[in-house]
Amino acid sequence: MKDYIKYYAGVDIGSVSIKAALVSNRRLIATKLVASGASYKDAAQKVLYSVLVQAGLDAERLSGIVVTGLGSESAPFPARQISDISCQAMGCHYLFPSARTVINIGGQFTKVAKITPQGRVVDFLMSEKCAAGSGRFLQVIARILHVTLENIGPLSLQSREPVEFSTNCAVFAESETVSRIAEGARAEDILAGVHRAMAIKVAMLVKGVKMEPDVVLMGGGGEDAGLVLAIGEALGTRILVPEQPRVSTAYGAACLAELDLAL
Amino acid sequence: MEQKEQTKTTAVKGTDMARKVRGLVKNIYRSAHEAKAQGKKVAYMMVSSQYDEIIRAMDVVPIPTENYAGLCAAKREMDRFLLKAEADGYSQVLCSYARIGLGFDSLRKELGGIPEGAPDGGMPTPDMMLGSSAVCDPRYKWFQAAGRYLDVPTYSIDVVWPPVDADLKAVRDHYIQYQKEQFQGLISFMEQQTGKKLNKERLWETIRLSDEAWRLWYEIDRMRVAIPSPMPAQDHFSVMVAGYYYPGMQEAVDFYQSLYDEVKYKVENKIGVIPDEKYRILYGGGLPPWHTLWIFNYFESFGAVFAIERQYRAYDPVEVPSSVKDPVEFLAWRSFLRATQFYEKARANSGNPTVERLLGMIDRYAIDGVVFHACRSCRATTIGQVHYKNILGRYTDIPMMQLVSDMVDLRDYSEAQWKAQIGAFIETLAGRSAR
Repeated sequence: MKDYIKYYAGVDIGSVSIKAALVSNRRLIATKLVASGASYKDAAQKVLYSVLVQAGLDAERLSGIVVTGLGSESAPFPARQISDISCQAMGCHYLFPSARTVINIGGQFTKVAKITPQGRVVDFLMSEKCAAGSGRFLQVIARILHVTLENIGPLSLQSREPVEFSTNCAVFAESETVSRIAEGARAEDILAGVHRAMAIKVAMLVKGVKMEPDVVLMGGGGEDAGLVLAIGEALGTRILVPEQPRVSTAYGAACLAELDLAL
Repeated sequence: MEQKEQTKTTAVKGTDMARKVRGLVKNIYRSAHEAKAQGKKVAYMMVSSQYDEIIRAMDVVPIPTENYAGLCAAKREMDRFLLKAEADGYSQVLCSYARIGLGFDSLRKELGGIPEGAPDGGMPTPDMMLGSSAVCDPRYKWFQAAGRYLDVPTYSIDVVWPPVDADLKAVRDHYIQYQKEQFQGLISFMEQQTGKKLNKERLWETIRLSDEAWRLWYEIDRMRVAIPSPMPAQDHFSVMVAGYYYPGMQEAVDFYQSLYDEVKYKVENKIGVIPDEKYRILYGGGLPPWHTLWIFNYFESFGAVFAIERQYRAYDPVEVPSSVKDPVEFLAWRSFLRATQFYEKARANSGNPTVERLLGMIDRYAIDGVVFHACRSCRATTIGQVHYKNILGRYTDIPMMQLVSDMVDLRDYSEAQWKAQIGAFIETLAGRSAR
């Protein structure tokens, strides 16, 4: 009976990390995430191999692969290419069937999509070619504050007086952060201020697609509890976050490989 | 979805006539250099300023500075001019057409001649500069700023139109009279500069030729409702050269007649731009990305053809009352009627003339999706796009997308972002077809 089970993989080649998900009948079986590094090809091969090893499978057992993300053209194995917005939509749909709006905050861009009850994209918007609209903004500020990415969220939740940033530009915010540190501002207040600035930008995108609940936040931004809180406040709604927000797009890609939809 | 490697900047054209436009463009600058060598007057000018026929009737050879900026971008030869203007203190948020023009003039002054390798031999030094307020304010101020590098006289006219809720009957005569006075001021200036009086018969002739060219162009676009699409938007952004840079000349009429014949043949024989047309796209507005026109072919690789566009054919033919016997008054009337031709429809429906034009195109051309291009340094064609998209959303549920870059400044463009957006847009169109 085991021989008749079909397996599908999704590989999300992002600018910061490369993720893979293995599914069967939309059930998540294995995931792997590695830093993108200098060679997308090597990293993509590595994550795919890893999920197969975790499941005890040979590559021949895969019935389909979908590759997505900014570096999807670098995939070193034969795979169908689908845009990350469609993959996010489908991943979100299977994780939260009630979702109608999906936000993905990644290393390069923030993407927002309005989706149908079937997980199809109706409308979408992307942040501009600007670091302030993406996770890169947080990386820049965290580096100055000597805070690890994992600690940004918990630390920011301790803030009592979030710093008001007078700019929405990551470059200017970097110098503004240095000024605020010199003035004695606390790291948690600076981080909470960054979250608020980002939340305002994200909320503008979400309103641009005419938000409908439920709203789901995926991507690296979903791992930052402070950012999730700020976005929820900016939108005045509850934000749902998957258990593994960074691999949700890869999971959606794997689901699309299984569905084999005409796109 | 399969994706294809793209290395070139220009687009593969759909029609033979569009492929011939390069010659027309080269001729603009060659003619200006020749005229200059022969002691004739040449003038910097702004496209779509409603004064083209006057320039031709005065036998002044126009140099369209905005077109030159687009040409530089298509040749990827714009950076040194942009950087020079910025080094001279012009902000990166100023119109990039203006920055290229100002940077070119600055370099020419500094080098004492046309910068080496400037596309199409560069622009000769003008004898006068003719600005206008039509479309945006940089077009009025640009040539005044260029006075920093060029010791030649400048004259800018005001081109006006009423707000959409104005009582047209009540304001019409005032607007036409004002516009006529603006043209008369320009004519006096040009007469002074050339030492020649305007020949009104000659002006009537240029108007006749210009209107005939635009009528043919309008008829060509009407044929583009055909499925499959006989002529794509990237061709439009080439063939516009005849309408905007050769108005009042027989060359424009001949060009559009040949294009008309070609498009008619394609329609009658069902010859499409691509073999398998799946989606028909409307280019909803924004100046074209001159630096990356192959992007239209990228859409085509997914079966999506830009069937029609709103940019660069701003008006349909209008009928000036036969009682108008003076050609300058005719130009003023025509300008007013062109600017207000969608007002009545707008007042009866969405309230916005641009939206009315887009809705009409979506309906007539069987459009599946709309793409806008937001240009960071062009407020005139970018502001309003989100608003149009929102109003359109009340009347249609077809997917719409806004790509962001600039018309000529490549620093505002991200290929990875565009490809990601286009991929998702095509999938949204496909998903909609599947529902």
